[in-house]
Amino acid sequence: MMKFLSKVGDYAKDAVQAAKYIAQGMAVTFDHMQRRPITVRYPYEKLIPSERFRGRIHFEFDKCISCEVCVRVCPINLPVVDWEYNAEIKKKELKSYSIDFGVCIFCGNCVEYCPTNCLSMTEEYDLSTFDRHELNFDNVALGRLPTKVTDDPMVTPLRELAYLPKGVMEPHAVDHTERRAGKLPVEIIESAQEQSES
Amino acid sequence: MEKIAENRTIIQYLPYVTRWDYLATMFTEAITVNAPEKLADVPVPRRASYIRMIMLELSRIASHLLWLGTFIADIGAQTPFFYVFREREMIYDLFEAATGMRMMHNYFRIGGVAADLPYGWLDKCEDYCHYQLEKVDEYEKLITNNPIFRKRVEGVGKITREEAINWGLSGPMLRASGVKWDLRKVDHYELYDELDWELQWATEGDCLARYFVRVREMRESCKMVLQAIKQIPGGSYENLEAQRVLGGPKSEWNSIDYQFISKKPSPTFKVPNGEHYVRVEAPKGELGVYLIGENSVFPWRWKIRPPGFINLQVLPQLVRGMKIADIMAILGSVDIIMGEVDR
Ligand code: SF4
Ligand code: SF4
Repeated sequence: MMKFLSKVGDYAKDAVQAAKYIAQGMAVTFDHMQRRPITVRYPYEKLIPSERFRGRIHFEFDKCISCEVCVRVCPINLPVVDWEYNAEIKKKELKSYSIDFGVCIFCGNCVEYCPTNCLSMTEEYDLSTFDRHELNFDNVALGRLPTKVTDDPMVTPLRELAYLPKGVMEPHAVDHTERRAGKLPVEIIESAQEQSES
Repeated sequence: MEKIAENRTIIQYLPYVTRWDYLATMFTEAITVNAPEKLADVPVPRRASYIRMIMLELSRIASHLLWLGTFIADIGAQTPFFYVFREREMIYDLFEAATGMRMMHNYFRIGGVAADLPYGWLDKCEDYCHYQLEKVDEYEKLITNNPIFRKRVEGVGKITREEAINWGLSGPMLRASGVKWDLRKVDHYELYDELDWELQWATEGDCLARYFVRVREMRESCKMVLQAIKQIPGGSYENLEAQRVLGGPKSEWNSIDYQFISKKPSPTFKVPNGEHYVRVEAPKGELGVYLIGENSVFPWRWKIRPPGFINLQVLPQLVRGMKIADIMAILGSVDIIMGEVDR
């Protein structure tokens, strides 16, 4: 009889413990009811791509010297540099340049190694098309610039974590024009000079 | 992936490597630059090494976070899955600001990293770590003592110390079985010795022990990042720039220790003659590369030792005699990434 009673007691204890811990877990869940949703309601809200964001490549035709460094550092030798040697001016003459963004992995190697900096990466990331051949951009298409998120009246721009002011963890909490974390080097210099003067 | 490596220069190959283990991307890059770096004796400036450590530890947190989410989701609780994604997104925001992409960073370079940290980055990183420490407490409150969770994982998928060593397990799998083995402590690579941190381990060897090891590692990583932020030579990027202007061209702030890269690798970087094995402690275990160079721009052999592949081999033995439902718990606790298993 005693054994049975102690068993019942243990069971009851277990049940109470279980209820307690589940309630503890539920407290965390219910706490989320008073938090703001962190999701970004694309296309009405858009994140501003970071400054270093590697989106579609921009190309400046006149700067290119047809050296083909971009081809050599590209993992798949993707950029097509079509040039002809012009004997009169003893220089290579660029006829056309194209990158197929259906194949490009946006690694940024070509941008990093181009000696004349004629390549750069834009913030454009929405490249979907109905036909994949449309993704093969020639030098004209490569020279276009995307629209900025901040210039679009239809969308609310939101910043990513690294660009929010210090202490703010969530983009909805502040306006996107508010100053981001970190001082500018100029300000540090000024404060250092003030200190040394006083 | 190994064969692709043998037809690419290291620079060309770097963007590929984040596809091995796409949840702990920084580690694959770290090993890809460490291997030729060590073979060619390229020096790494202290600042670069600190930046690397911050990135690696953030990446470790991201990987453990996702593991936590999927592991709990496998057992049947969907809630933490969304919570961890919220935090993971923040890490990826930080990565995007510093490297240009969320997952495929292409940030490490032979002799350092591709670019210095953007301004204000360290401030936000600090914010994040404090935030994350709080959140880990929250997960623990939600999960650790939950009776259903306990019943599902306690004593399930036990690996003894000897078995763990014999199977060649590594990472949290090994540490949960009572072996104090962490390459950050064993190999002393980067500058992990300058940080004050503790190795996390457990002795039970079951799924619960592996859960504890990983959750504690998340905390430890947060603390390591916080320390690294304090100790980084030159401080934040804006401070470094300001000191350089104040100190003029001959100031100590321009010396090698304060650079983010020792020398930009040329596109024709040659892998010198010789062969060796380098390894790093990835969140899933020992990630190694066996590299043979023959003084050409391409490596002659590039053998990858992925932790997921070797940890996965113990699975048949673990699931023997178990219920079907336990397989999910065990497989989840092994933490495998298929991109790495079949690379
Ligand atoms: S590396 Fe630059 S300059 Fe050279 S071919 Fe490519 S785009 Fe032109
Ligand atoms: S971004 Fe990378 S993949 Fe794309 S063209 Fe440039 S080097 Fe090639």
